[in-house]
Amino acid sequence: MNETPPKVPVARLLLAWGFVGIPLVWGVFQTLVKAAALFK
Amino acid sequence: MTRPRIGPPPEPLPGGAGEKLLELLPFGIGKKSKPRHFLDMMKILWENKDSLGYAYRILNHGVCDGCSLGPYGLKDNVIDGVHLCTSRLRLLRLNTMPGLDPAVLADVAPLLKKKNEQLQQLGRLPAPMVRRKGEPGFTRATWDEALERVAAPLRKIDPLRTAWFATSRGATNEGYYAFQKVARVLGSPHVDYCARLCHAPSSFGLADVFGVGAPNCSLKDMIGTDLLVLWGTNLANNQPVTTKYMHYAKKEGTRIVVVNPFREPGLEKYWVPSVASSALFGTRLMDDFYPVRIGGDIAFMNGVLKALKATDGFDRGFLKEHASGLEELERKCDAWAWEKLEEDSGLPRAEMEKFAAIYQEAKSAVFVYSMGLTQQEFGVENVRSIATLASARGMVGREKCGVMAIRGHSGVQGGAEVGLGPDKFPGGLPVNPDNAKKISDAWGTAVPGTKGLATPHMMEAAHRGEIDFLYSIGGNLLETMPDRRWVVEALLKVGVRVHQDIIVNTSMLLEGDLVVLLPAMTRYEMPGGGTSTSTERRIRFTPEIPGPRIAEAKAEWEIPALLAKRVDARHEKSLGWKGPAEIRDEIERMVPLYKGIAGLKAEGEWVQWGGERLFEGGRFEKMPDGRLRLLPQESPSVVIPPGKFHVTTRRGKQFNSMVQGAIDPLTGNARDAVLMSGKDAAELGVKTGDRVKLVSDAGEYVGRAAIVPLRARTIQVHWPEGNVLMTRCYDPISMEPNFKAFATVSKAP
Repeated sequence: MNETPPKVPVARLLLAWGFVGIPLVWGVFQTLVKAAALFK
Repeated sequence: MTRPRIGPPPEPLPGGAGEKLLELLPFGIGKKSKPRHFLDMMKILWENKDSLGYAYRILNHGVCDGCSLGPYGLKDNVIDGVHLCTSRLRLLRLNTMPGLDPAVLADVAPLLKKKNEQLQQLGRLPAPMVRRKGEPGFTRATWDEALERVAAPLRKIDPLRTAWFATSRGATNEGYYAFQKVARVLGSPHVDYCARLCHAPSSFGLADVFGVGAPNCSLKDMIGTDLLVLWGTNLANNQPVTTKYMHYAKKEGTRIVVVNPFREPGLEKYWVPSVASSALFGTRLMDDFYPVRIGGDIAFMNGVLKALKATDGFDRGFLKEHASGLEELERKCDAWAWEKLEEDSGLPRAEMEKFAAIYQEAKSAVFVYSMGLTQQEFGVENVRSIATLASARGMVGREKCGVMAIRGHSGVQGGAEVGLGPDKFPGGLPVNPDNAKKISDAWGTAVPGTKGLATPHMMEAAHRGEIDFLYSIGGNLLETMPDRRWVVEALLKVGVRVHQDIIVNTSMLLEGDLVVLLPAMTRYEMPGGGTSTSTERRIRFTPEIPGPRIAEAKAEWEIPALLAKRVDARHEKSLGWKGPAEIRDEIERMVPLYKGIAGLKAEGEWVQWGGERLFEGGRFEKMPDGRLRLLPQESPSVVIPPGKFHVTTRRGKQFNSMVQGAIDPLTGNARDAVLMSGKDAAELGVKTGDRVKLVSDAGEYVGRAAIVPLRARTIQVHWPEGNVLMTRCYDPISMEPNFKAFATVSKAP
């Protein structure tokens, strides 16, 4: 019957999230930094 | 506002936590199997860099020469917005590439090592080419020389020893009509085309139930129907823009159910590039999946019918008014034993009851099926079954309902309708002496009144040495028929072969007493334009598009007519068309369904025969009693011999046998992949990437194992490469090859 596909390799998972996540976190951080400046 | 979707909550997406984490990322980043549209587009742009203007004009003004959805320019009649897919883009190069150097064909020995797609890349056929027995390759000839070389033996050959085969490959209705007329005028009843290899059972099965052997709804009925059933079809690969239709269908609350041995990743989730939200995060398509075993479709449908009867799920009002055979259906439902249905379908009773419950809740349903049902030795029975299943709840002849036998090639629907088949004349008249007289009177020349050979029978006759002449338009029987080794033997026994085509293919390289290549125009090059019929019966005009030309290529419809007139000048009277408009006029006279085709003259104009939906108001005018006929079928029991696997074929990133990508991005597999279940792989001791050898009664195939969510003891290999394994087994009614084999599988060194 139906079978579960093989698991995603951890390396690919980290690479993919890194590719998306690092710029995303950096963008969020920059937004926070610039927003914080408004309240100084 | 979106309607609530019918049925229980959909099944969760398969895969572990890792897979689910990847689903959250935009553009499917990190996923192994997803379409790579933007990358493909860049590659195609580069490929066509020498003819970008012409490519642009084809896309904007032509009717697509790819799959059967039949858009004009970048629009269709289904949705607003862009209709464009990578299949169409990949086919562009066949239209834009320049002619090859004829010297390349002077010696075929080096070409024999090339694959079909490598031969295509050589360029367009630039001129008539001739090869006689004993010569190493082809010599360039003038049209006069080439036609005379073919006509001379053809005058002497018994017409009953000639065979005429066409494929679709962008061909037009005018080309089909001219081809079958030429064959018949020259006295041969043996005329057939590539639909024999895909939807031949649909013509029979749908006609048996409804009286008309064609899809009976429009593509737009898929959007907003309560239930969309995809049975034995991988729309995401073969008709990619249907994923956009499904995206909008899901938005309107449609539930999508898939019945197939393999849980196709492209039907699970698809990234529609022209819909921003889908391009970013994908669209989940299938809600339910039923992994039926190969050959178990009828059993599954019977189980659903049985469950429907038990819960009073038939639309009795509709059936009493518009159908015959209800009592027989009910009697059979009572007689079918659940144990046998479970065994034959490979699925438990609960699954059939679940499908039935969802179906019973649906007020509207569209059934889309394809070669998973037709390429079986009981293909006609499969089609009758799905038509009966749709009819049982009255899902025909009204909005958002119908049975859609979805076609592959752009114009393949029109071939049989204009008479390209061994058993029907133009207008659907059965071939018999009475109708032959009618056709002969209309054409002013005698035509044979006996049924001709269907393609598999042509090949069997060729193998017996009973065919001396084969005229093939665009076809490559060597690659597309089962049992390649045997097909080689058959083709080598045919003395004279004519290949009318735009490109070179492997079958042209086989030796004969005489092999002649005749260069044809594409549909966009033909003066006077042409028409093609889409899967929803829409006949659309495509104009001649200005651009570079192969100087010596001639129109598809013109070449066979030139040959026939060369054989006997008296055929000028019946085949003396001055242009395609005259053929359209003749089709209008000979094919009542095609009323309106003569008026198609401008870019994009169309008529849809039968209207948006056939059988509106429950009128089945082609049935003797005006009622549809319920035809429940007995389920076959397919027994896999001990130690063997049931092998079937699948398409990868390709458009039929015409263009093939090295990797299928929807599964991540290469062309030589041997798809198998994890259970089977474990038992065989192989892992993904290992070389495996398959041996069937027809031949051997070595590929690389790919572990996928597929039923156990089922193997899938890509078509046409896997045809070396396929045994010559045909559906006895439609003569469709079943493209299946039982094979042993072992680890290869």
